[in-house]
Amino acid sequence: MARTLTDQSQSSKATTQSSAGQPLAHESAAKHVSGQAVYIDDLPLPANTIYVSTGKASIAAGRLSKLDLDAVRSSPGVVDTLVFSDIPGNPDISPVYEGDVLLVDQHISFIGQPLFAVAAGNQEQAEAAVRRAVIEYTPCEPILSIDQAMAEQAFLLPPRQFSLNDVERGMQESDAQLSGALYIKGQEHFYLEGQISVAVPVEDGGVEVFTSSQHPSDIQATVAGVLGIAKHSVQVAVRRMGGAFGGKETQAAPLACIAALFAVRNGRTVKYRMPRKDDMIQTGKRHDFQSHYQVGFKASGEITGLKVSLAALCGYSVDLSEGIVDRAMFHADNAYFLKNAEIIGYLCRTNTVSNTAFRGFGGPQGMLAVESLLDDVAREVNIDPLDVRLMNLYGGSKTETPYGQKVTESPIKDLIQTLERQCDYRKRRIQCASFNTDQRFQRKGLALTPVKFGISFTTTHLNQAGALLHIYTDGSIQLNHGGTEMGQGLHTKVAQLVASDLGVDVGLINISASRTDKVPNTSPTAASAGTDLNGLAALDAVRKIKQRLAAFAKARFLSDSMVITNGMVQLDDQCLSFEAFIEQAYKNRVSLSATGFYKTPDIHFDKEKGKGQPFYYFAYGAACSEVLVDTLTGEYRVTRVDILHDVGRSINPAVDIGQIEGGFVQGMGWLTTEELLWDDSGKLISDSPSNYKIPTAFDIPEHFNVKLYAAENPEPTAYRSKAVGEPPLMLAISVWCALRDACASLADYAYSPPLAVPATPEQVYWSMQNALATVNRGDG
Amino acid sequence: MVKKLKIDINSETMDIVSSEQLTLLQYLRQNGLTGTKEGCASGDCGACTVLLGAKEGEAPFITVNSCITPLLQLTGKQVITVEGLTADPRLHVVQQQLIEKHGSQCGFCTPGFVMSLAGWLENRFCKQGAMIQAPARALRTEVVEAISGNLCRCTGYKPIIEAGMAAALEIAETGSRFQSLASLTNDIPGQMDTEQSEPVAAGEDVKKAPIMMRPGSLQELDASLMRWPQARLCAGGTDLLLEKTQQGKPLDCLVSCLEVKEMNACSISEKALLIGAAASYSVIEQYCQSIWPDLGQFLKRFGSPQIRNRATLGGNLATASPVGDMSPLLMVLNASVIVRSTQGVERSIAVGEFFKGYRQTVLNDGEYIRAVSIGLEAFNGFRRFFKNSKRTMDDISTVMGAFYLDVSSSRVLEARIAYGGLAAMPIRVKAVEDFLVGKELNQACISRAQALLKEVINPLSDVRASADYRSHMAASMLSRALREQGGEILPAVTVG
Repeated sequence: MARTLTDQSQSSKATTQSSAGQPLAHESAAKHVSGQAVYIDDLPLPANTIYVSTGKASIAAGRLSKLDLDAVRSSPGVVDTLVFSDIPGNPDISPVYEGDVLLVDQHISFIGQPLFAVAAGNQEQAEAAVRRAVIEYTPCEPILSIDQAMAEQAFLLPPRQFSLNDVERGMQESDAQLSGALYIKGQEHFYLEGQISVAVPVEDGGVEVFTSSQHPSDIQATVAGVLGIAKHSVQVAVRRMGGAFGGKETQAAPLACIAALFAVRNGRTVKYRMPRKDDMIQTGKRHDFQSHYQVGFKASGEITGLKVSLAALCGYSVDLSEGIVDRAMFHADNAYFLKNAEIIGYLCRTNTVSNTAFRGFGGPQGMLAVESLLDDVAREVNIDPLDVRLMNLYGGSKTETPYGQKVTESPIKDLIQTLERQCDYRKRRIQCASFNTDQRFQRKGLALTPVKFGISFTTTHLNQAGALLHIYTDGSIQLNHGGTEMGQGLHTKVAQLVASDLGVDVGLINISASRTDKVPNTSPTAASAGTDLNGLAALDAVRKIKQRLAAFAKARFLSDSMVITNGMVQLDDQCLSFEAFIEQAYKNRVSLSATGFYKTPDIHFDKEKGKGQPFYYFAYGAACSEVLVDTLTGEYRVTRVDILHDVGRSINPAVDIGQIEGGFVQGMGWLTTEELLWDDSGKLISDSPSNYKIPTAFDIPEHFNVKLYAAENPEPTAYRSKAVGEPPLMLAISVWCALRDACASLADYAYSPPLAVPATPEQVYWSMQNALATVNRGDG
Repeated sequence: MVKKLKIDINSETMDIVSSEQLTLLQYLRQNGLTGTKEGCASGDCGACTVLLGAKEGEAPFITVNSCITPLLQLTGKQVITVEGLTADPRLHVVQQQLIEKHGSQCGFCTPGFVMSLAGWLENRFCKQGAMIQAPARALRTEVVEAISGNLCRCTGYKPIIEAGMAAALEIAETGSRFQSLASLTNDIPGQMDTEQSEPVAAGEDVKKAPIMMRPGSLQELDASLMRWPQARLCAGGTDLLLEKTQQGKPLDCLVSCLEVKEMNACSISEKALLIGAAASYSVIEQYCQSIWPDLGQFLKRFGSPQIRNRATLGGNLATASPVGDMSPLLMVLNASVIVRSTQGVERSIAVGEFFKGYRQTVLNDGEYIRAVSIGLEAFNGFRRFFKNSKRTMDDISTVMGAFYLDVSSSRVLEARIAYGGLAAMPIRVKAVEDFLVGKELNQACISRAQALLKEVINPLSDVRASADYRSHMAASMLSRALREQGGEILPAVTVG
């Protein structure tokens, strides 16, 4: 049965041995609450440390015609300045394709783009110096919107397409068709810890970098690249991040590179911490998407064909946009069998900051597009939107996705129906309808939406991980793996897996900073795959050491049955403590250190054909949200949310539920109050927390019920668990649909009025006005 | 010449110099107290929350955003950071509950939440002598309110709210585990509140203005302002400090009015309520509970607890923000600004006459706001205040509407209507007021008043909302106020 956190908490107290499956506290929890957890900004640094600020372009497109830094150099406290021509190595720090330059050479691509950098005795001196630069531009006409880019065919990469069967036939088979569009705005990450790097020069021209990055190996590569030195001369360490959410996958690199350049040039430690406003202006965000669709369907609500185009506002460079647009396309079906489909993706080049990874990586936008149109269909055929959703789910013979992978063993129908019962959907649907006829100034909305999210990097080679395990002679264990800790509890879960597999208490295990000199060539901690990949790499190391220990047990103790449980080693009739056994093994010259490696099996994808098996498996979930809307103002509250989510067999239910709740609220922010805005010149105007509003404690539903769906992962993942980082974010689509449901009530549910994303109070108000106008015109 | 000043941090007396430009947060972090984090440096996220030993009339400890609190304003004061929350190695009950409820993920915002919750518990405990059990729902509302100025991007807040509730219940049940912070005393002799009250100390460089002067009386304040005509008043600094943290301007030649007793007190005479210009909103809320009971509920949306513990009415008026939430309220309550000059001359200006334009007031050089006076008759009539913002809590108004109506047998005798967010400064809409006077309040009248309102206002589009929405909201608020006056009940969904 579905488990609740409460049940799991109680069981934890009764258990003496900490292991997989238990709701252990985050490994750093005690340090978090006491202020003892060390972030980069907390590191004690030498007195002669220098601090960085950058000068930023104030036009969106054009040429840098003059950059005079004389006054900058003579500004108090300035130690060094850096321009494009000072970069000894490769100035391009792109992760995949070219185009992300560390500093502008001539060509300016967006407002806020770094033109030069200054290092000074303290942060305020650096910032003051930057303001003294004399800069002249030759501007040209920028491309600032998806529409403009589409009109000018300004694409970073050629359009891409997935096709399933024959979409024209699908339209012919239909009883009716609908066309529509939805503009989906992006999202600022707003990790509480802003971007930051500290670089320390080391001998032989090398550098050690402490960074808040999800991708230490990329920091190593880009730092080595800009310095023009070998990767072995660059050591990168990440102990923990104060939040990341995708925003520190590639966006941490410029800080690390600039800090490293100054460190090597000056032989001094360098700290580069972006002020919040710089962070909001200079680093990429979730992509805006413009979707257009045409859907054919039967009178029953069954979809016979879908054409959808997804055009992304990528900004000035590719960064990770290829994978993001792909993932949007991979999720344009969400959990639904489309029968005939054509999905086209565009990578629009615009003179805006280069958008980047953000929890969900395009998936949320693709999924929102299809969920939105399903509501349109449901209103058109006058059937409860939940029934239209249920009817179109993958299942039975309906298995094929537009990209060729088959959806088998899907629990989604059972999961939705279980949630539907648990949250009393049908009764509350009637209650909402009745409330909405009686209440003139308030309306209720209700929606239940599913999530099916593909797990694996769609760039196949990234699906690998390494680990390094040392057992010291006192039995304590040092564990490193390729993943990074950003709050998601990765280290906690991997330590639990290792402790469980090794048969020792989790307290014996220390996981320290992720370092490129401990585990090399790592993939980013992203795509929700951190535990899947690094957990099994760590277990591979455990397996190797256990093999050696078993061989030792046989040779030394003549035992064929070494069993380690609860920190005790059972060897036939003998029993030793783990510590004593390890001491013995050491004295008998057994190697107590091993590396581990893992690569995800059975995945492949042919980009040219748009077909393959890009995902190892799918993670599922569903959420039912209820909202109360003020028809006079558009203001609203989310009053109740019920979630049932599939994390497979949970390694740590508390950590997993934390991911679900947190992901949901973050998704809710994206779809409700978090509104990115630019002015006509391309300048970001939502550039601080005073005008960009992430949810507060007040915004979360008073009734917020989260349960785990009881099912093991059919695939042999670590502990048969499932990835949980990204999928829950998309559960928040239910909030947006519920708001739209409340608006539709004003048109007697005969019509789904357009609702912008994010659905701010203003946008909900306009949606209600639209619904009322439609009714008054009598054409609803 | 540099003076030695003292501040008590976590029961340790620290020396600071009078040339110090730092914010409290910068000072803490430079002195190894890195548990307090910088999330935004603008008072919006709460990651830097610390407790400040209170002055008279406030709770024993108040939460403040240390990122926008100038260090020099705190000499002689007591500060408690996350490192000083417990004297022994045991964790504070809030810390313990945050671990048990899994209330931290990345942990960066966590110390701020710890301090907000600890401050809330401390004050609740101290006021009542014991933790009184509240119904779960009421307790939840209190906890949410206590952390409404703290942003968390990881957890979705649920476990943090649960931790706060569990901590309160634990104290109520056991009591013993709660070690009140009141035992952490401030040992700085004589509090040194007026340390810098002398405008010019003997031998001091007479050309170099002090960074922060802290007069203890109006006379001393006047003397400081006469000596340094370029000086600016600093109350809670919640707006002023953004010049430093967001624009890189130095802190210089400020006169703190927090120690000026005449500016910090509230009083009620037979005729009027007098609110000191430097009284914080928390103090005002406390003081006005009986005379102005609806103020507290409104103030919850005015700003976060950390901001309300520092922000002042004088500051809100003097910055002359187009959306300054209190201005429309004061306008319809016919409040007056009591303005004082450095000569000690006082004059009274109606709040409605106080603003000249965008961020401009009628204050002359050498004049400052001493207090705000509200005639008691204003509290008898029907009044409504509505705030519209993108996010309910801790957000700047899109439109702020205030309404005062005197209606007898459905006929409007007097109407006062004011808005923030519709123009370059807060405005009264006299045309609509005049239209309403003498009219019978019915649907037709309300519709016509709305139409007239939309004609006479000309709002802007900006990052908070479109001009069109602002216009609709102004009209919607007008309708709501008029209908509620007529007895209809139109509760806002945004009320907790």
